[in-house]
This record gives sequence, C-alpha cells and structure tokens, in this order.
Amino acid sequence: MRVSQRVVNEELRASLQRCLCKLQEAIKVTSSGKRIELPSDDPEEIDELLGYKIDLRRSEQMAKDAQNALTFLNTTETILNQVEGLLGRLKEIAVMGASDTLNDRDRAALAEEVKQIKEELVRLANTSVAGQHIFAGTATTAPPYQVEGDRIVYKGNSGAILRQIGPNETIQINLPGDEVFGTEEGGLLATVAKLEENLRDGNVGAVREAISELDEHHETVLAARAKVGSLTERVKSALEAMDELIARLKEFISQIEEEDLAEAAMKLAEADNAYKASLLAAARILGISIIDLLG
Amino acid sequence: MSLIGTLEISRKALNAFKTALTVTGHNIANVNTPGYSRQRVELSPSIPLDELPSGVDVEGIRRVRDLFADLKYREAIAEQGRWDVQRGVFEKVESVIGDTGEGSLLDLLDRFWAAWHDLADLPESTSSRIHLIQTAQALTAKLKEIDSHLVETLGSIDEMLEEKLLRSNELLREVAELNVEIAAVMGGGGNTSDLQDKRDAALDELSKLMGIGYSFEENGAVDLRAGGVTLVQSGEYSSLHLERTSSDVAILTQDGVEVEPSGELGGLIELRGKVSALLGEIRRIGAELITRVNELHSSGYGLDGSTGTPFFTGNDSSDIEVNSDLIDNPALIAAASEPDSPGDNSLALSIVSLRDTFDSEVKSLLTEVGSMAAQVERMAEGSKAVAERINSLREGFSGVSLEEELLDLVIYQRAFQAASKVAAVIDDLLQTVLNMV
Repeated sequence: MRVSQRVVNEELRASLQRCLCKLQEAIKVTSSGKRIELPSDDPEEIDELLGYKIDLRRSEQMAKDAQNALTFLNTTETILNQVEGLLGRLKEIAVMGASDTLNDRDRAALAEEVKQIKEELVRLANTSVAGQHIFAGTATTAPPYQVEGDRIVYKGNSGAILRQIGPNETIQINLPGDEVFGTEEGGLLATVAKLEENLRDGNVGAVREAISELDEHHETVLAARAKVGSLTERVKSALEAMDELIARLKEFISQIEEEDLAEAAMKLAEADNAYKASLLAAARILGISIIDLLG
Repeated sequence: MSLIGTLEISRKALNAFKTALTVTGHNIANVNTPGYSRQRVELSPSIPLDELPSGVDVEGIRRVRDLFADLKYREAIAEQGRWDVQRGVFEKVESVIGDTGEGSLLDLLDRFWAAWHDLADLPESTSSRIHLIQTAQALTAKLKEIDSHLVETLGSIDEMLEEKLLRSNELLREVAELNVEIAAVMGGGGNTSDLQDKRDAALDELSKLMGIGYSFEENGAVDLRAGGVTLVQSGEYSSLHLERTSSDVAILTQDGVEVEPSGELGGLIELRGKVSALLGEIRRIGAELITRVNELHSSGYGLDGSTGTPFFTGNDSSDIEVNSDLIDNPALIAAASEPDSPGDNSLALSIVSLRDTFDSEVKSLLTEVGSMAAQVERMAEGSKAVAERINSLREGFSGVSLEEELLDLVIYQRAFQAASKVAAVIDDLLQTVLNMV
C-alpha cells in the first residue's frame, strides 16, 4: 500500500485520540472503582444489576420495618409483663378481701389499693409510643381508656396495625385494648372496678366471685404474652433472613458493578504506556523529512 | 536531421520538465488540502515523422483517483454519519434517564415508596406526612425534568435536521454547478482535475449527510440519488425541506416526494424515533403512576376522615404534581382504609405494594436506554473505524507524499538541467558552423 503524508498524519491523530480515550476511561474506572456508571457501560449485566439494587433497597426498607415492629412488640411485652404482676397482687387482695376475718376499715384500705392498681392499669392501657397509643386498635391518636365517673370506657376499636416484614409477609403487631383490658361491659378493668366497689361495700360474696374472674383474665394476659412472644420470634427470624439477604445482595452488586482494583491499575498502566508510545512515535515521525537529507 | 531539429527536441523537453515541475509544485502546495488528489504529468515519446526520434510530448495532466475507493468510502462515511450524529445526543439522553445514582429517577421513585413505608410505620405523625409530600414532590419534579429534557432534545434534533438540510441544499447546488463547469472545460479539452476534486469533496460531504448513490454521464457530469430519489441531474438539482406533522417529520423534495436518506439525516430521523419512544414510555409511566396511586389513595381516609382525595394531579409526566390540597393540609393524606382510624396503615401498605409494577417498568426503561446507547456507541465506533480504514487506503492512493514529490523535484530539476545542456551543446555546434562561414 502506498502511504502519503496525510495518511501518516491522520493515523497519528487517530491513534493518539484512541489512546487518550482509553486512558481517560481507565482513569475514570480506577478513580471511581466502578465498572458500570451508566446502563450502556454493560447492557447485558444492567438488568441483573438493577434487579439486585431494587431488591436491596426494598430489603433494607423491610428490615427497617421489622426493626420498628420489634420495638412495638417489645413495648407491648413489657406492659403485659407489668399487667401480669399487678394481676397477681389483685388476686392476693381479692383472696384477703373475701376472708370473713377482715373488718370494714381493712376492706376500705384494700379498696384504696385496688383503686390505685386500677389507675395504674388504665395508665398502662393508655401507653403511647411516639404518639401512637398501642392498645387503641387503629384509633391510635387518643388514649383508648377514659374514666367517666366510676365507669371506664373503651374508646378504641379492634383495628389492626400491620407491618410488612418480608416480601409476602404482613403481620398484625398490635393487640387491641378490648382483647386485653376489656370494655365497660366486661373484662379486666371492669372486674377491677367492680372489685373496688364490692370491697368498699363489704360485699364479700361478690369479692369471692372476683377471684375466679381474675384467674380468667390472667389466662387472657398469658395468652396475649405468648402471642406477642411468638410474633417477636417471627419478626426476629425475618430480620435475620433479611440481613443475610442484604449482605448477599451487596456482594452480588459489588461483584457486577465494581472493578477489581488490581486489574484497574493494570489497565491504567497499559493505557498510560500506549499513550506515551504513540506520543513518542508522533515526535519521531513528524521530525523526519527528506528535506533534511536532501540538503 | 538538422541541428535546429535537435534544438526543437530540447525545447520540448524543457517544456515537459517545466510542466512536470509545475505539477510537482502544485502537489506540494496541496499536501494538506483535504480532498486533493495528487496529479501526474503523462509524458510520452513524440511520434516521429521520419526514422529519427523527435523528443517528448506532454500527453496531459491526470489526477490519481480510485473511483472504487471513493464509492466504498462514501458508503462507509454515510454509515458513520448515521451513528455518529446519534451518539452525541444519546449520551446526554442516557445521562438524564439512565442514571441510577443519588437523585436519579430510580432513586427518587424508591424514596417515594420508602416514604409510604415510613408513613405506614407511623400514620398518625404529621412529620412522616410532610416527608412523604417532599419526596413525592422530588419525584414529580424529576419526571417533569426528564419529560422536558426529552421534549427539548426532540426540538434540537429538528434544528439539527434543518441545519443539515440547509447544508445539503448548498452542496446539491454546488454539484449541479460543477457538473456544468466540468462538462464545459472537458468539452474544451482542459484540465478538470481540480474541479473534479472539488466536486468529489462535495460528494463526500453529501454522502456523510444523506448517503448517496451516483453515476457519471459521458460529458463528465454526475447524477445523484438519495433514498432512490434523483436529486441532481446534470445542471438541475432538487432542494430538500423538512415537513412536520404533529408527531413526526419527513424530508421532502420541492416536488413533494418523500426522501428516506441514510447518513446523518437518516440517523437524526432514526434518533428522533428513539427519543419519541422514550418520551412515550416516560409519559406512560407517569400516567400510570397518577392513575394507580390516585385510585388507591382516593379510596382511603385521611386523618380528618376525608376521603376521595387524589394524591397526584395532572395527566402524565409532563404535568404531574402533588395535589396542592395535600400540601396545604398533610392530614388529608390517606393511610387508612377505614374512617376514624388514625393508626390504620393498611392503605399505605397497599400503595407500597404498587412498587413492584413500577420498579420493573423503570428497570426495563433503563435497560432499554442502556442497550440503545450501547448499540449507538458500538455502531459509531465500528463504522468510524471502517471509514477511517477505507479513507487511509484512498488517501494513500490519491494523497500527496512529500518524499515522492521532493524526489520528483530533484529528478525533473536534473532532467531540466540536462535538457538545457543539450540545448547549450547544440548552440555551441551552431556557433561553430556559423564561424565556418
């Protein structure tokens, strides 16, 4: 093939441009550590990569929700624990109060203690976390139990608060108050209110009846604690699975997206050398002319 | 043979070498002129009238040109033009749509769902409502940004089309004018090399612009077609213009015949189609987001018991906004499926479950953009390499080599000196003869 001046010049220009382009690419990859910045950097892998990235974000969100559910359940558990303790004391009081050896003054003192326990129970039933009353069903903005005269009225509902803790796993994390503390018509608080009244009135027969009612309520609270306990376990295992998934997804992503640093450094060195070589060639070739030799 | 006859031989030789030196000088002068093809003096021995030799004749000056290389180069440059023109624009389109980092569509859409999640965690709180509105506003702003970027891109593609058509028309006129000139000079037996070079440069540029087919007439004129439509015939040419319909554009001749060019014009029309398709996709995603979210949202209840409130307003990505009522009063955001249940988060969770659909739609949009951009990039690189290779073959054949020309310069200089010497010797001899008298 015949070679003319313009061909030499064009080739030099093109090869310098090519080398500089490769050098710039190598610098970009080395400095960011990422092989894929835009979808076109690897259209075959981008689908998979985006899939992993989307899954990662979703899993992180669900892990956050699960963590949040755990806090909610732990609070519920703590309160149920306290309720159980109070129930124990209530039963002792009921047993004492049912004894014929007590006089009215003793019973009035017991009634006073029951009153305080009742208030404590109402306070516990009205617990709120971050402005959310956890025993109110879904009517969470107001305290579910309100004392109106000697009546204790449940203002909550039996709605469910849900948490998504897995791709297809949504659980109810709240116990509506009526299931634990009961309503005006019946249940723990109603029994306690009645007990206080009967103690004050010296109504020993009715106080005796309260013992078995309290036993029933104890069962209810125990069942509720068991339910919360098993939910906690479920959320914990979901959280563990999620954490594992997150770690794996991160690994997949870095495998696809990130450039091996050693390799990137090698490529950079290669590109650098190639560029220097073509600069050298240009300097050599452009300096030579027959004019110098013809004299 | 007379001495005068011999003197005539050196006269012709001096003339021939002077012409050769002129051509060499012309070649050297044009060593860097784009599109110049080197010229050669064709010398041949004079046909003698008798048995004695009669020196050298200048047959003519020819340009060295490979018509087949021209044809191949023009095919290649049309392909290069087609992809190259798309590359620059598509790089920008990809950087706007295809980004997956912070603040990208993917990121903001994800934050939008995450904000619904957060609202589901604490539906009573005003701060999580305000946070949701802010992320939703960032999302709508991004959708509108992408939308208007694509609309602007379509506008600038149309401008580029107009610009390239203007240049094409200039070149078509130039080819027609050169056709007339070349035919005239050729008819008069003159040297058309430089005119032909000029026309070849115009044909190169036209090939890049629209991809042309051509054939030569006997008088040296060239007939030119693009997309099967004749655009230049001898001295006549047909100018092109852009015709816009509501959604599309077409290139028409002045007689209203549609031309489907390749080259840069073809590439731009192709690009226009791709960008339109992406815009359609973004609009569809925007419209779907509005419909699906609103459908669920208006079935739910706000903190104040309100229901039937749309979350977004607008029709698609061009005018999507967060409902201004919600911005004024975040309590209107519906997280609950039942009235008077501030703790009910089931509706918020249903909205979160929409993300599956949109994640996969945005993912396939990004994949599509990525593979389009990669294809354009690959084809642009590939076609550029092909065009460069053919061009260097062509340039190698037609281009000026300074070494060659400088050697020619020495050769013709020496030959000129030798022919002068012959003339001097003859002159000497004639002097001798004259002195004899």
